[in-house]
Amino acid sequence: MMRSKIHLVVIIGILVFASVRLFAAESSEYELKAAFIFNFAKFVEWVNRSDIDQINSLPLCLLGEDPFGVVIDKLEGKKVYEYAIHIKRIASINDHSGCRILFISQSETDKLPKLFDVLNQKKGILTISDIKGFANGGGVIELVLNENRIRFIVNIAAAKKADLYLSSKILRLANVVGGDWGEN
Amino acid sequence: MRRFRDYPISKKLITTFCVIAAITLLVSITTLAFTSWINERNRALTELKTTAELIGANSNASLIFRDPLAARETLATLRTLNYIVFAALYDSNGNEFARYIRDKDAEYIFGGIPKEDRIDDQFVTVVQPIILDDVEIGNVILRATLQQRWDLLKYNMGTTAGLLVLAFTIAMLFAIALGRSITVPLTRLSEIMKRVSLDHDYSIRTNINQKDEVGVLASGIDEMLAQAGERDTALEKHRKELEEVVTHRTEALQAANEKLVEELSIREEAEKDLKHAHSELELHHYEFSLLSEMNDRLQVCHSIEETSPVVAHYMRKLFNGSSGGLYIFNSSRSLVEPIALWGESKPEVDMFKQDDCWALRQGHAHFVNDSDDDLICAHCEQDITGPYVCIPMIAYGDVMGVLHLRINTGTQLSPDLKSMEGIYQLAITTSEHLSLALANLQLREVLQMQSVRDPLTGLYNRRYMQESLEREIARCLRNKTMLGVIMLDIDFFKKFNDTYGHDVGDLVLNELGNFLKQMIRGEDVACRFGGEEFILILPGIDDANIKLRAEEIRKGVKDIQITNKGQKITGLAISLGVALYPQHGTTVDSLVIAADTALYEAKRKGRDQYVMAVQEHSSNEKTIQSV
Repeated sequence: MMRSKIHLVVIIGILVFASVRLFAAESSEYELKAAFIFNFAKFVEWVNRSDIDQINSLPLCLLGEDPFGVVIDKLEGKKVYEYAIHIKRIASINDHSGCRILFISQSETDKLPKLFDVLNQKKGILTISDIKGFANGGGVIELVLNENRIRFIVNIAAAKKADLYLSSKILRLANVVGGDWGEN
Repeated sequence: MRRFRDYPISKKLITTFCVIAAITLLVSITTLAFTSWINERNRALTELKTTAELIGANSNASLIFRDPLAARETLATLRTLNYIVFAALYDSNGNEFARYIRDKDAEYIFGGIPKEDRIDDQFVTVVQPIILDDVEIGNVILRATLQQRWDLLKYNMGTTAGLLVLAFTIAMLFAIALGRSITVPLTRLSEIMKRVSLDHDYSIRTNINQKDEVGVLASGIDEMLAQAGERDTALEKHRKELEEVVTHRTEALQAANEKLVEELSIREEAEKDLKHAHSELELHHYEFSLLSEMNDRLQVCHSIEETSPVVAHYMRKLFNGSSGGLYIFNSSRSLVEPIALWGESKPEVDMFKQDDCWALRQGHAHFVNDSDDDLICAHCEQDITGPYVCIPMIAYGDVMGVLHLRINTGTQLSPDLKSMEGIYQLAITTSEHLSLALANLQLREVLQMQSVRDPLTGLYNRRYMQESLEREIARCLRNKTMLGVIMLDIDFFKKFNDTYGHDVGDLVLNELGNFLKQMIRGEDVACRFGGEEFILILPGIDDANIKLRAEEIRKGVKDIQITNKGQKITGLAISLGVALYPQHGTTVDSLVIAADTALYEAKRKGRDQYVMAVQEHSSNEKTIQSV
């Protein structure tokens, strides 16, 4: 038992150390967030995807102030399954046409209710933001920093509403709000 | 193998069964175990691989979203698979992301990501890359123990082996039963055969009611026994008949045999006789060849004296071990003289009178078998010890002498082979041969004498003189010696004839002859030249000596006393002519002529004197000859 405890301590120690190292710089937080965004695409299925099949690309739109910088540009052209990511920076929600993944910057915190008004009318857009209460507000995925680690909250109801199908693997890792996937 | 062949059939069957079953058992169990183990290992690998894939698929999200807790939870689901002892997740950088250890007590040091799957007898380790959207996002590593599989295998193997042994035992029991079903009837059959061969009871039956080969064999044997029984009865009858015949025949044979033995003994006897006869014949042949050999040797003898060693040799050979002597009459027939004496106990008496020998007295052989109980000849009275025989030697009707043979009974060839009678017979035969040979020799001697001697005077005749003179001259020439020749003639010989008659004349000639014989030396030769003429040949004499000799002879003649019928005859004188080789002649004729001339000269000078031959005459001749 002593030994196993020691093991556990050692493992936890290593993990903590790694996390501290990982988030030592501010820039690497967004670097990670960019990776998360890219990876979410792999576990999300767009129910209606006739348009993306047509253009054979997956437009990723950034709304508001860009916190990523060049980090996000690295995703340009990277493929999710057969679709290539296409970065698109938009200043207004009105420019959202064609966007399939929409990252909303913290700069848009105040405009959020207005944004949801627009987005609720829209289907087939995976909304991601690190604005606090984004998921509870009606966003699909909210990125949160928890104990220096990036976690995420998924609003299943919002996903359903947006005609998105989320993999159970993501749900297992996420804090889920908006009821069960199996409901409705 | 040899020993195995001698085993009883049941043992053979069981042994064969055992061996085959054991081999099959061993091979099948080994093969089964081996293949099972290989299968188990492969299965373990495949299963673990599947599990790893599953784990990889379930943990890709947690790996991507960096949620080790979720990953650990996923790994923790492995707890249901108790054979997995270790599991780990690695991210794409090769850093460990999460791990699972089944038994916290078990120490397991894991050195990074293995390059490939590993399997050994105890553990299987697999490395499964986690792929998401064609990108390798990490690896999952699983390690499982094979212990359970081992245990299962062992259990299965044990069960299988048990079942096989059970099957083996059952098969064995069947084999034994089968063996028995063959061997029991066979043993019974062999026992029956043994009993039959011992007791000759052909009424025994096998009583085996089987339909298989053994049954066929048994019924065959029953049938055979029945037939044998019948035959045995017939045979017994036959045997009795045969026995009677044999008895009859044996008796006949016995009789024949006895007869044969008898004949055989007769034949043996005859054979012995034949052998005896044969050996006697051989002996006879041997004796005959000896006799003929002796004859041949005697034939080539020139004189009686020469026969002595021949006679002694052959007598010793013919009469093995005997002694004896061969005597012949001397010239006056007053005594017998030995010409040969032989043997260890040869006679001591040298010569004896005719009356001293019974054989010579009777004119036939005198045998003495026992010297103590018989008439012994006087000539051998003193030294005879055993049987002897005296055989008169008769040839051409004349008794020449006697063969005296002392038989040595001790060292005789063989008493039964050579009986006394045989010896006597041989002695007689031998004596006949000897007599004839000696008589011939004597005859030859006489003839010889007659051819060279003058019968009246006993001196050599003129022919002999001629030969002698020639021989002597040749010798003188060779040796450069001298030779004297004296020719002499009785003075007034006619007067003797006229006065006293021719008988006296012959007497005178005879006496002169005797006188001349006495007067000459050994090498000198005296011859009657013819009528009342004589010639003396004197080798190696010289001038002075021959004169002395001539004078000596002339004087001697005058002293010869001749008496005829009480009447004294006087007035005998001779004239001599002397010649010498080579002075007076170098040839027979010239010498004789020279001597004759000298004799004529002596007569002319008045008789009763000698005259030497004339020197010149011979020297002339010599000169002529030398030229």
